[in-house]
Amino acid sequence: MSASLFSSSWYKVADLKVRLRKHAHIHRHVYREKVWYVLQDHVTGQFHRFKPAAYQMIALMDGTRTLQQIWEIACEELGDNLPTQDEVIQLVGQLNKANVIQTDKLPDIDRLQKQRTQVIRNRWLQQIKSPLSIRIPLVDPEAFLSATSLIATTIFSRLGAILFLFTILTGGVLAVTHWEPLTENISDRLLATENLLLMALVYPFVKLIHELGHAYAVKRWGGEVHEMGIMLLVMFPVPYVDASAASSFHNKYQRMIVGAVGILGELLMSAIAMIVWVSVEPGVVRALAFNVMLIGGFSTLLFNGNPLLRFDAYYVLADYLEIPNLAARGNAQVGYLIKQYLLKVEGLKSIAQSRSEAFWLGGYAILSYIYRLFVMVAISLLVASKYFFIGVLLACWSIWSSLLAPMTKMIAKPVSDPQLWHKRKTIYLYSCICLGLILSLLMVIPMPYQTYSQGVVYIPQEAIIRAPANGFIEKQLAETGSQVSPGQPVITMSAPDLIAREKVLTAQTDEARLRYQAAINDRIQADILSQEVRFINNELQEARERIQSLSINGATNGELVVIDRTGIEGKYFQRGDVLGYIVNYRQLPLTTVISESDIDQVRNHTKRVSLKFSSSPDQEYSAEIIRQHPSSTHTLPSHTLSTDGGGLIALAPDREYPLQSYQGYFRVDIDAENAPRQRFDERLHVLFEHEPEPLFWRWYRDIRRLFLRQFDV
Amino acid sequence: MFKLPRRRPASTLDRPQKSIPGQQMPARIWRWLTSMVLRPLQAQIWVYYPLLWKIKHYQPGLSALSDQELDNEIQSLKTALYQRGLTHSSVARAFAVIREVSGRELGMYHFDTQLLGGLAIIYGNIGQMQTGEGKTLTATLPVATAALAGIPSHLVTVNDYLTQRDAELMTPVYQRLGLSIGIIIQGLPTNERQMQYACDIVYCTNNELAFDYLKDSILLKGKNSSLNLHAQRLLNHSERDKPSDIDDLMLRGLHFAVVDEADSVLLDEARTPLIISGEEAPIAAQQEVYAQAMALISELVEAEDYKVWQQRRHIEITPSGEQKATELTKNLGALWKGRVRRLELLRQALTAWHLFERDKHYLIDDSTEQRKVIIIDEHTGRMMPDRTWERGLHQLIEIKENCSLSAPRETLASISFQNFFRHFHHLSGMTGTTSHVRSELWRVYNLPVVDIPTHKTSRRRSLKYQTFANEQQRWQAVVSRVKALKAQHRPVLIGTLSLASSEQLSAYMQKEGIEHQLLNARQDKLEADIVANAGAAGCITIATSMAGRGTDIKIDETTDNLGGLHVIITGLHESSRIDRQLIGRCARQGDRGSYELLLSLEDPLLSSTLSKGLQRMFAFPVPQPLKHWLALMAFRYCQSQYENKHERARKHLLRSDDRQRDLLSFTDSRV
Repeated sequence: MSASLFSSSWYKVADLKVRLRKHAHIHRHVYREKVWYVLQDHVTGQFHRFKPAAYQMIALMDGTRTLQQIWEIACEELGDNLPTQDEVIQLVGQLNKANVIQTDKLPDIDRLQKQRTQVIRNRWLQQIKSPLSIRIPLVDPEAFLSATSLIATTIFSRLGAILFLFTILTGGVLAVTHWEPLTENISDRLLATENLLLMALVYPFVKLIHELGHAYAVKRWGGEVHEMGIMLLVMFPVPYVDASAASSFHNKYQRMIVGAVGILGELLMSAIAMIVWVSVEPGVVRALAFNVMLIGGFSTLLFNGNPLLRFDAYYVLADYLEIPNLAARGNAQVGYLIKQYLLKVEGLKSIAQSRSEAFWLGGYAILSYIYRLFVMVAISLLVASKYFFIGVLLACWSIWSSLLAPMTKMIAKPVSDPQLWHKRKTIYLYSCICLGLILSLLMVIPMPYQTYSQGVVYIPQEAIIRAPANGFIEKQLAETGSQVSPGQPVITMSAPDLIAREKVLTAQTDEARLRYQAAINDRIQADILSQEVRFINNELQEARERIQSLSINGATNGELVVIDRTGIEGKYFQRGDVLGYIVNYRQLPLTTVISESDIDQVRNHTKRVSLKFSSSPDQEYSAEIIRQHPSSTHTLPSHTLSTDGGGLIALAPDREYPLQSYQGYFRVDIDAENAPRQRFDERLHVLFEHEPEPLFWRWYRDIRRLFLRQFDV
Repeated sequence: MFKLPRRRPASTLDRPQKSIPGQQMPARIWRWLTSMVLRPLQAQIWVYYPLLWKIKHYQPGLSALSDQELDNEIQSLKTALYQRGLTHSSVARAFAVIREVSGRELGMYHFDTQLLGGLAIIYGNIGQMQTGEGKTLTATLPVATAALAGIPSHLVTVNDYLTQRDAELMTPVYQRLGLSIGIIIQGLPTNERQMQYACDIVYCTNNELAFDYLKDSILLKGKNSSLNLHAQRLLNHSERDKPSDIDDLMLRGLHFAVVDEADSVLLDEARTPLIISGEEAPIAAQQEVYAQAMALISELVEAEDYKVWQQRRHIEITPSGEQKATELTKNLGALWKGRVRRLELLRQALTAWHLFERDKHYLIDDSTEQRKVIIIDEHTGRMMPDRTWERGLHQLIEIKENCSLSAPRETLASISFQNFFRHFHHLSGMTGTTSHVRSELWRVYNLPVVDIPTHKTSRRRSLKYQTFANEQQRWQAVVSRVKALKAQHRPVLIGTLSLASSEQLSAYMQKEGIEHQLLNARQDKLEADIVANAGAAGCITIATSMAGRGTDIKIDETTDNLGGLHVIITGLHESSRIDRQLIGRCARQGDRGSYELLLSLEDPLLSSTLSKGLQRMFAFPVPQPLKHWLALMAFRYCQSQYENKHERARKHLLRSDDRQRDLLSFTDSRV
């Protein structure tokens, strides 16, 4: 709106005769049904996009006309969208910065030198600003690529495409048919040490082929590739090539192929690996093939195939939508939207050329922002779990760069931007509201607060039927599943060795008694023998008791469950083995274990307890704490709670007894009156509800605890 | 920190000048950090006391010397300074010698405070000295010291009158020291200027200096390196008879400058770019377009087709106005095609019509047969006959005022003071008023401000402040106040905001039959006489801000006994520093004096909402003192708003200048 036609600096440039340098080429492109001119600088490998109006002026720069003449011609020809003098200066300045023009005057050498150092410093700053992706250029592969350009023409041909499709189809079909063995126990196979080593060996090759794919694709349609190197992506080295020469291609599908060829190449490798994997016997080759498939599939899905990250798919998407520089312009579009609609600044022009472009720009910027935030947080958490300090640093950095920096920029903006100065009150108001909302959400508004733990329905000792002696089950007197009352015979066992032993002992008793009677005259001998009689008698008594106990009676009321569904009759059990249970489902006790960090809340601030059985997850029952064990223990009440049993608690790797947990836990017994117990040893999901509390204090406690544990501070 | 000026090659070909440091993020952060530590440290006056003691220590020895011995001492000092350059101890010695010379030649020995001021200046600070503390004498110390060390020094003042007066006053000192002194004033031909600039010490105004720099730059276009120039000289040598551009170069580089009234030169005037224009190039079509534009604005309705933002000095054309403009100009010719051009023309015309007022922003000079629009400088209240507004604004105002149209001139070179003074290798200054701008002086020029204590305690009295509902009442109060003072035979200086208001007040006085003199842009030729008279008993002087910086109103003993000069301020300027300069005219150098404020709520400084609110409040029975106090607070608030606005504008200009310089690195002209 307030743009002025004339510039106060115009006199400095009016007499300049400007000429485009020879190494700069201009290509005519069509983006979203509009003509653009793309200027390619072969020396720096940079590209600049101009509108036809600007192109018309650039075309006039032939070294014979002065800028004043050029501007006058432009004014006559361009009518309503004539460029202002400032815009012309901007254009020439931009071209000069890109080093693609020459003037008839000696330029300010000092300033040029300063600019150069500035550019170099900026490149370094850029690296420091994004510590998660650092580029290290290594070689110029152009000579090698030119020498082997035959490969490019062979691969990127009709025959190549058909072969590619065929291989992919074969691989796909094989993958579907072998899905089961392929994916079986995948995480264990993936993370085994020797496999990780194999993967580290295979990875560079796969990525190298990927990058060479880009390079050859550029080569195929006449581009040049001058930079190849290693990028440290989250500290992990990945090769990269500079395929920006593709931007000069007229055909957007050619540009898309350059972007997509990495993904396609990896898919091809995966397909070939699939065929190999199917056809060879287990061994190193098969393991290698498996890893190639894994890398091809995984990295494609997670990184390169995701257009929200600035990898291959992003460029493919940008080319497909015909919106170059999608991300940066998207951000600018969001800035424009905020200024236009939130702050109501007048006289702004949208970056987008059309409604659909505006939609894509805005949508992409917001989506990718959210996704990037998510990835950054995930990466920080992952790193923090291994290297706590670096992880915290990374998290701080990512929070700063993605949340706080844009906000401060927004707040500081009115100071530097006169356009926004008059809107500063609105800006500060909105920023304060935003900040206030976030702060109150964190520090004031109480949020529902719960502690979750897993519990178990366990069986009390008296309900377990154990074998009283070594022996065979003679007869199961009560049916499995039938109700048993106390004292009712349930199982009888036969123990032939016991009966034999009883007989031996009876005979020995008789013998001993006779010898005792015979030694009536020798008092000392008689005493000794009397002791022996008593001893053998005791043994006999015990044997008899055992024989007695072979008929097992029910100890409590309940349903009889034997351990073997096929029946236990005629089977041999050792003394102490579990034969079965008499389960009184109505009275089975419930228990859970609480970690040391949560016990304080559970013990002192529990408002309500609720639980769910894992067999009926829809049904929730209210419960109450009936007993809290005062000290922490390493003994788990049931196998169900341990990770081995599908629970959450890790067992100690050097455990001395079967159910020893790695960390200490507090046992809390709970009871739910009306909850029907249908299975014993069933997993419970227990939720302890506390007083609602703002999030900040919870995080504060967590972080405080973390620091106490990690640094003792 | 504590840097002294250094000797560099000084010739019109070598022309050393500092390259301007960038204002990028790291530099700004560094500035900000240093402003916490270095600036306060360097700005402490006690840092300079040890050197003061040292100067005093030389004194007995020097005063014992005969004239011949003093000359010898000067010679040996000069040799020492040439050999070793300026050091802390040699500065002390030089100061002592200059003080002695000044005492013998002028009868004025520098006071301790002036020595401290001189030290602060030579170490690259701005010495804040109260008005009337003898800045002219103070400046001799650093300037002469640097000149003795072979460093060409510039003493920059704000107007020709001061330049000439100061230089002539101090000439005996410099002559005795064996230093040549040059004076640059308006209208000096180029070869004279070359001779003056070749002197050791040059007294000049900021405008002249910067314009000469620009003129040199035009000659230097495309020959930015000194090697280039030397080559050119050799080439000329072989073709002796051919006159060359480089023979016309004037400045010998930007070595050391002491800027008097530093806040005014470095900040207030920093926003106006100095422009050297080429020949007039009248274009008939252009002039017709301006006339058409001026005719068109009567068709547009204010508030509907356009909005006038008086406070922001901005015209906004609404969509309906845009549409109307398109229809109206359909058949007006090629220059009205193009939306941007069309709207800009209209906006300029509206700006000329609504935002520029006669006798405030400009005056009409009808002394010659051609009526001319002459710009009045907003800070000094002086006429600026050479200056024109850009982009047709000047022509549009000429149409508005029915003057004959001047042709637009083509710009040849331009620079702002902000950029010009940053090129000096060693910059320092002095002023009486730096409050509120200290941080800016540091940020932009890297100049700390050192408070120099006053020699004698000030006997200035602030009487009262009063606010009146409208202009009428205010003028009446002023007149009655003047009558009362006149009865006491005290001299009175009345400061007015603009030329128009000064003349209005003059008319009132005339009606009341009060004899008075008027000092404004129209009377600038009589300035010296008016100022000389102003201190006489019973003399009433009405003045615009012209009677501000540097105006020394001398009072004699009888008026001093009556209570000295009394200053009445009738309106506050956008910058409080201009007001304080006006107040500073009274009670100089320990004299007696007083001032008062008589303000009106219709003052343009007050924003309309505040003004209305206060008007309404005045209708209620509020105690008088509270009323006046509230009104004054409102004035101060608006004033600080304006000051902030100007500071922001300067900051923005600085940054966009930097960016522009970067962008324009392909051109061959530096300015």
